[in-house]
Amino acid sequence: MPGNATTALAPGSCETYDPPKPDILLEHVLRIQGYRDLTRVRDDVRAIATKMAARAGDLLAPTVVYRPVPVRACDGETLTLITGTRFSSAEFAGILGHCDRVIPFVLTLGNGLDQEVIGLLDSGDIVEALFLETAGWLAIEQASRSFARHLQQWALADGFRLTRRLGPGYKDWDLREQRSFFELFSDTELPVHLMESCAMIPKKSRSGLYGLAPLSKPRHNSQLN
Amino acid sequence: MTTPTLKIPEGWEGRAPDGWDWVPLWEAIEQGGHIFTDEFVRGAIDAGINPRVILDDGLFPGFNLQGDRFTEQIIFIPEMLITARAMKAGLALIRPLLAANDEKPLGIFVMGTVLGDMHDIGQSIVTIMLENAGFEITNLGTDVHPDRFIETAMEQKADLVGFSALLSTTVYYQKVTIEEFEKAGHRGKVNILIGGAPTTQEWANEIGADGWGKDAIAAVNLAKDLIAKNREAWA
Repeated sequence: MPGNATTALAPGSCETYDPPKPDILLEHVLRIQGYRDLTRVRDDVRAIATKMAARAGDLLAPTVVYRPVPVRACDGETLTLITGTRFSSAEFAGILGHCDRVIPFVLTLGNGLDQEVIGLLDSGDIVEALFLETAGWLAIEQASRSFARHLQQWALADGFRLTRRLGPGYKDWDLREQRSFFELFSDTELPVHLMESCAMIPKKSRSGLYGLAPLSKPRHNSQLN
Repeated sequence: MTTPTLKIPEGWEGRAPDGWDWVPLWEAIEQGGHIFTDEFVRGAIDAGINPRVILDDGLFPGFNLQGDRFTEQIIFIPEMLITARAMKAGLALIRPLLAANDEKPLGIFVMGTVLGDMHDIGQSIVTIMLENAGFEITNLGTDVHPDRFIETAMEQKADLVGFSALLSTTVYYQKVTIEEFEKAGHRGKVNILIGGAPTTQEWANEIGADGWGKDAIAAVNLAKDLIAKNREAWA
């Protein structure tokens, strides 16, 4: 189990996982911008997209900090962790009802891509900035999937399955609970800074949690295979 | 789907010197030739053509053609931005001349990404398109507190305010910001537009926005319509 120091009474230690550097495919970047027929993409557009997809690869430094935290109770819309931290969402009962632990995490691609996008916007290169930003979206999805697979391996070996990802701000989980969420990592230095408004810096960052449900319990349709 | 065509300004020959030809400029704007556009517009100014004529007869036809193609999904945001860059090069030369002729902007627009959201690109694209269409823009950037939107809108005597949000986690602040305008007693003084990937017309209706721009061109058209409606109401 990741962070295997966890007990029924205390959160596990913080762990770090560095997903492989995302591989940004030109085809995906163009498709996100609406191009279905890639043979009809204008040469100048293709050239910029190609350059920015390659550039993104040099700028990404994906990393995840996470820790297992025992669940004290999951009653209706309230999730209470062993730390006393409480979160509210109507999603919890259906998804985390069988979970005795959750794994909160903070994932980031680092600051490099943000800085490059700012520089491009400042110099008026907005098409370049758009494609680089698009590459960043693809990269954060890849890094998230890689992290989920990493956790799932550990979970299955321990007799658990991973639930769907939840996070402050998704559906009815109030974004302002991001502050309490980050306090779960108050004893460690995170690669992400939480602003007063609950926005995360670097921009290409994601916070959330997975539940760990025992394999012996019935599968909820939101749980990963 | 209709195939957009270039709308040639009626009677343009009568507004230009003998032998003048706008076709190279229409094509340059369409293809995004910003250096050529700069040179051509300088030539038009030197030839003594009225800046309003340069804008309407020289710059807008190619820009509007690309806008129509974008609406029909024949081209996408990157081509539109390449065209916008060329348009901007021409406008940079024309705008001071229009101001000197006491021409007013189409409207005053305050733009920004809502609190909690750091995403810049979408609102930058809308800002460029609005500027090209003739609006005066104050762009507040990202992570903008509702109070800042209100203060700026009142200071600038804005006609329109736009709230961008790119995350499903931050669209909530579009609602909050509208509520703050209401609490401050300023809601009736401005039209509020919203936009961003997770937003919809239904969401705009639910939170009481005056309009929803599904993309940058739609936002520009909506802004123009609202300005026209306001002027009709005041007339």
